[in-house]
Amino acid sequence: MSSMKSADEAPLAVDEKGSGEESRAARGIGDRVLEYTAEYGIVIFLILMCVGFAIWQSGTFPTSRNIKSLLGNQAIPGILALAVVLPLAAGEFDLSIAANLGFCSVASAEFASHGMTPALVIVLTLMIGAAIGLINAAIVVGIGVNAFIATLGMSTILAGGNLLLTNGNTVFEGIGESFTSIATTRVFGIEIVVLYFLIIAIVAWYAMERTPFGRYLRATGMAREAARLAGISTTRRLAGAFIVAGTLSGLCGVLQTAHLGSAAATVGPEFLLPAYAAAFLGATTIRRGMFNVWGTVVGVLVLAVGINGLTLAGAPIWVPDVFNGVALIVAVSAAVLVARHRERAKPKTT
Amino acid sequence: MDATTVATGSAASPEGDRDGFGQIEPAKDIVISGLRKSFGSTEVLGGIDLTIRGGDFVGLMGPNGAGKSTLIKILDGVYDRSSGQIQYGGEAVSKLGERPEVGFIHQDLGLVDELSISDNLRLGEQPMRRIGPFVDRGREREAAVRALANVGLELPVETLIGQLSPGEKTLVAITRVLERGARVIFVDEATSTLPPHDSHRLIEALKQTAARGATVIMVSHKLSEILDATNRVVLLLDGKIVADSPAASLDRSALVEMLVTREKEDVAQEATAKPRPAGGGKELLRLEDVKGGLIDGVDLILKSGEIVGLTGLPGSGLHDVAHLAHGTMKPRGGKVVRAAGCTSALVPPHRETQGGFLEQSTLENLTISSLSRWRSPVRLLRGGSERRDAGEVMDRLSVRPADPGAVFGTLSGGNKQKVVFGRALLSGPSVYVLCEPTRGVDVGTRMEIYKLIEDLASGGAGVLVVTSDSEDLFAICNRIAVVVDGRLGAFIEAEETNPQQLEAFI
Repeated sequence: MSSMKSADEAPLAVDEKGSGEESRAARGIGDRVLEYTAEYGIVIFLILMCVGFAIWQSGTFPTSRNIKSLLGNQAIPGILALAVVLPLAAGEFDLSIAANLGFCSVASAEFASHGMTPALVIVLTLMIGAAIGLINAAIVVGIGVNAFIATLGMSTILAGGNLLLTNGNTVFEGIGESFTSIATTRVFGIEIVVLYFLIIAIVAWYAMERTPFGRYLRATGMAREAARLAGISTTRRLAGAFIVAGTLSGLCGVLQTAHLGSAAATVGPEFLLPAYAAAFLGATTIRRGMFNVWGTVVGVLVLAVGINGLTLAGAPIWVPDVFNGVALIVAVSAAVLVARHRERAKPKTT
Repeated sequence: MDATTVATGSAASPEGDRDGFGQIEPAKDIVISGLRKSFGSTEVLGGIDLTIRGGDFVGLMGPNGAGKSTLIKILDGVYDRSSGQIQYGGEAVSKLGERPEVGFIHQDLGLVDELSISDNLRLGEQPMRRIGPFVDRGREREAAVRALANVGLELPVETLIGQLSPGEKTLVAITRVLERGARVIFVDEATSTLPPHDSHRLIEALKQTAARGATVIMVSHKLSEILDATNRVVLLLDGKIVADSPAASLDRSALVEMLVTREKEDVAQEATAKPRPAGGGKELLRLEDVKGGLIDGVDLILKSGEIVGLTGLPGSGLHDVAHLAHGTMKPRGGKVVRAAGCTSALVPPHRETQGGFLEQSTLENLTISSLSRWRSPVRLLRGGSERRDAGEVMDRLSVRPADPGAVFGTLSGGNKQKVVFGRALLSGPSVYVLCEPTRGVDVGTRMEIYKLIEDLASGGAGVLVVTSDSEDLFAICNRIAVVVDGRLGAFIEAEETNPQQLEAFI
């Protein structure tokens, strides 16, 4: 169709990074530096924070002991943050992930204390996690209930389930080393959960960025009607996202019990906000404006390093909560501002 | 609102400088000089000099990407200009958008579907007060009735906007800017999404408004509209004004020649029916008394090599036929029979909301329907071959910018349409269901799309064209039928009818 190439179409410069038209007018090195700074702002912030704490708390922060424990403690929240990315990418909230973690933690503790083998405990717990995801999917996709409400309700039900299973007590009897070792075995001195986190991140990244699955999920999240008309089974993608998120939350539950050697009746809710904060922080970097795997990993580390450093510096007990909350709001604000900037910079001619 | 009402009203009225007979005081001249606009290193407007005198009715034309919308958006203040001057009544201004005497009607009309016509007219204004906080609804009502009559819209003012046809909505939007005292109205491609009947009403209303003394600047791709309504035609090409003539001195062919100088031969075929060997291929798709959505029983057979055209008014269920045929709507009754191995692809009617994924790249938008084609045994996407195949389609359709990484949302309307079309091409189905395939595209692209559709049919595909643009039907279709109130009329051979006859059926 050569004639369609008439000079009619002004080839528009397209600003993928949304950094504005002015910065492109004269693309000097300075502009490009600015663009990358915005793109990798959170990454740079993470590095600066590490350097800062290393200098400020030179006796405690940059020690191999501290770093190992920091990573070991962040692996489970990290996996949970990755679980959140899938439904978010598909355009829905799953607020039940933390309660799912809590319920699965208690359930796996009960299983283990009744003498089941670790392998059986893992299989059963993952099935529970997946089933919770499936029920979420049935309510949200099947009936059409707002996901926020449906998963909030599910959270409360699961919290009640914890009390039912434990009578409000902490389960620890009969949880032996064969079970706890699935989380606490050390590889090169680092707890094996960190390795799980890394493997799950790689698989999730692969699925999101290099397979049709990820494209379908994103398309579903961006414009559901357009996706449906383009031939994507949006209901199946959404259901899949909830089920995978549920299964990963279940895994986090088993690992949490194994990591601590016990499960408290109240475990779970405290994991919710950091997971969302990390996912939203992640959406401001690497692939800006989109929930993405490596961004989320960076988000997890930003929260972890910030709270760890401040704690080492003697920050009082309320600081971690405030830090998480501020991070979530800042991340979402940044996302809104980036979107608005893009909107304004959008070159559109007809 | 007229003088009597102002006088009897207890509260001061914000609007006013118009007399009671519908005459509009002529606007001041708008003088644009040396206006330039670049997005990054790309110049979209390359020095526009244009004087619009009070009372002009200007038709602004140009191919997709010529810079028409950019010009309007700079005048409105959505974009900042890179350089140049805008004067209004001799006074240098940076934009016209905030002046009550200048009104802009964009493709997004900014009306609230859930509110009534009269509430929409008052939206963002001080309510007319009785005493204290009490709204004088009676007076607002009267004002709304009078305002609507000025554009020839006879509807109860309590009607919710959501119940109006697209053309009626546009008329309400125009009424609103007039009510706020607009004497200059910019209308950006308002008719491109309207069926003929609605288009006529809108054009009539604009003509009437211009006759009352307003300045009207209308962007449109439709030649007949421009010739019918305007008194001056300005042609934009590659960000420059290449022609500026009184409409009276132009005829259709002169205008076409100005628009697509390079493609005279193609365009010469425009609007002449092009009979092709009637589709004698094998049957691909059959609808038997299918019911669903607004459709109450439709029979239709689509054969290989055939282009079947359907048209009708919005609300007739026209697009539901497309969804039933494609399978995106489950039939309530009847049977959809597909030949073994028959696949279909859909170009949906509403490009902005159903067409694609605004934040995704052109590449991702093109390939989303056929990703399994590039899947390796381990389900990995083979990015190289995906990119190559998408690149071929982009070349074939001349998508601009030619960069597969370009964000879909930043493409011009015509290019978005090409990408959505390209997506259907890449999935290589045996049946194409094309809704409004030429909506909002320029004359040159329209010809290309027609040629492409004909190529698809001669390659053995069955094509169902569902359109409110009768030009589509006569340019390419073998058989035509009209959807009225959820039912399909008899099929007519395209050669045996003409646009006027067909419009009578609609």
